Amino acid sequence: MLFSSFFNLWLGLVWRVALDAPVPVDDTAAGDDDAVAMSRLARGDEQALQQLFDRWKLPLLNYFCRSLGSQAEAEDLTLEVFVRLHRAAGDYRPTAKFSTFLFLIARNLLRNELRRRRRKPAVPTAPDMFDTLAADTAVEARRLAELEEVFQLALTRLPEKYRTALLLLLQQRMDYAEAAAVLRITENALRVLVHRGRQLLKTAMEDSV
Amino acid sequence: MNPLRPQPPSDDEIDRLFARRIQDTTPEFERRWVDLKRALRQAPPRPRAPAWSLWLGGVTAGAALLVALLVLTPDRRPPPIAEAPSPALVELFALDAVLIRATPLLDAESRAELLHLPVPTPRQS
Repeated sequence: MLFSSFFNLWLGLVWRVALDAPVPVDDTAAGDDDAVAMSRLARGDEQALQQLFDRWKLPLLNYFCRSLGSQAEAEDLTLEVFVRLHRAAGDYRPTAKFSTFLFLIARNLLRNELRRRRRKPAVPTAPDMFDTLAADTAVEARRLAELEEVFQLALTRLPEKYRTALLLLLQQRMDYAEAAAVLRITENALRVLVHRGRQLLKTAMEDSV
Repeated sequence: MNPLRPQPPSDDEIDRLFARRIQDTTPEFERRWVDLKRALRQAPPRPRAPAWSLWLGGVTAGAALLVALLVLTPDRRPPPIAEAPSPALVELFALDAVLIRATPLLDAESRAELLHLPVPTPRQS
């Protein structure tokens, strides 16, 4: 009895491992430059890593900066993402969009950092490191500049799941399916998160304005 | 509504704040990246494991675990209870001890010799 249940368990495990076995990337047919770059990186092509860095450093910096409110920590985590990427290149399987894979790594690092931060608070980001907001009038520009500080503070205080959902959709311009894959939730659950997150953010900003 | 109190942010304003991005990295960050890239070059990425190796690894690990379980699992059957043999059983054992010598004679052509073996007289009850 014990052996037969163990055998079934083991057989299932072997089957799953076989199903998850890496699929070789066809450079010509992949259609995703980043997946091809990962395949090249796995073969030891250092230029591929530089290509990925050039393409993704700013989206990652923006994500970490808004999440943590600290430029120094955002830079640390961005570099750490590329270390993880380099390490994972051999095991990477292009089963989903590369950005989903990348932001899964980024989110895991962010959550680790937030856990660490509970013990050690960080320095907030200077608002002027972001680009100048396009505004029709000087009054509008001043208003947005004033809101920036309140916005960053409210965003940093928002629970991580709401903040990441909003950032993936509104800052990184991901579609719902992609953002839901990063957060490992359904699209409907994501819609609820975004709605509640926006409400919480607005309330927090209204209280601070 | 208090006219002196600033207006709460609108959805449009929030969207525009989300859309604000860092336009460029700092020279310090780029310098750190160059150093990091150099360090990563020293440790090339782990090569992708072929599918057959995963199969082989899984099968070997499973077989090893199965053998280990078979060897290490204690026998849960109760040990046989030693009992004093009955007088009839003692007699049977004695008969067996004599007959054991006839084992090589059990061929068909040796039956005649088997018939002349000394057999103990059955006990009178």
